[in-house]
Amino acid sequence: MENRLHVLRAERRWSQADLAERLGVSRQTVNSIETGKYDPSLPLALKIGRLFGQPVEAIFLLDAEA
Amino acid sequence: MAELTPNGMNFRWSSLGREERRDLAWSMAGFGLAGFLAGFGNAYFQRMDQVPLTAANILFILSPLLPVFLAAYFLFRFSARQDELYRRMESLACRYAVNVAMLVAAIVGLLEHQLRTDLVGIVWIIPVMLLAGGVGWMVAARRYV
Repeated sequence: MENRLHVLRAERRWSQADLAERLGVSRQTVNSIETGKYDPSLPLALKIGRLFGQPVEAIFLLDAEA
Repeated sequence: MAELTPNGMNFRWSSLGREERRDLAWSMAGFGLAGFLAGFGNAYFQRMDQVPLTAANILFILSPLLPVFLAAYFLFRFSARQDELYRRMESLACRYAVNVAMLVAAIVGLLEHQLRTDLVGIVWIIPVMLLAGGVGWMVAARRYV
């Protein structure tokens, strides 16, 4: 699964640590999500969507849609 | 919250909060004490040809279990404070530990039963679990970090 987390974070000039703090996870978790190594749980994905004011499907894309 | 090192095999002590450090320290102390009691008990009973089945001996043999339960309780508390990536990795490591331990127990158990011999004894399942858990964590670190 691909995602636009890196782009959205860069638009707001947040570091991974900033985003991690806002989401209540570790910086490593943000890094792993951005690099596509780890797919977040549904609650965390919803939290990310809410933080960026976008629906989850606009941030996380299935490989076929990317 | 535990910040994993770049290779994912460890985490920075400085990233832990006060309560996380306390939980982890108590947990390690508990496992250490259990190891000491188990080793002491093993050395004590190994010298005897036959261990009398008394309440005192049974309590002495099972004494490492109390610190193990306490250590596990503090380790669960530590894990509960971590985020989902850490718990996913921990879950994978536990799956490795349990599955490999069951496999080894089945193989050794079958061999011992059919050959009517005592090859290694059941205690060796503990280091096998620890080793498999370590391998599982390594696999998780490669996959997720």
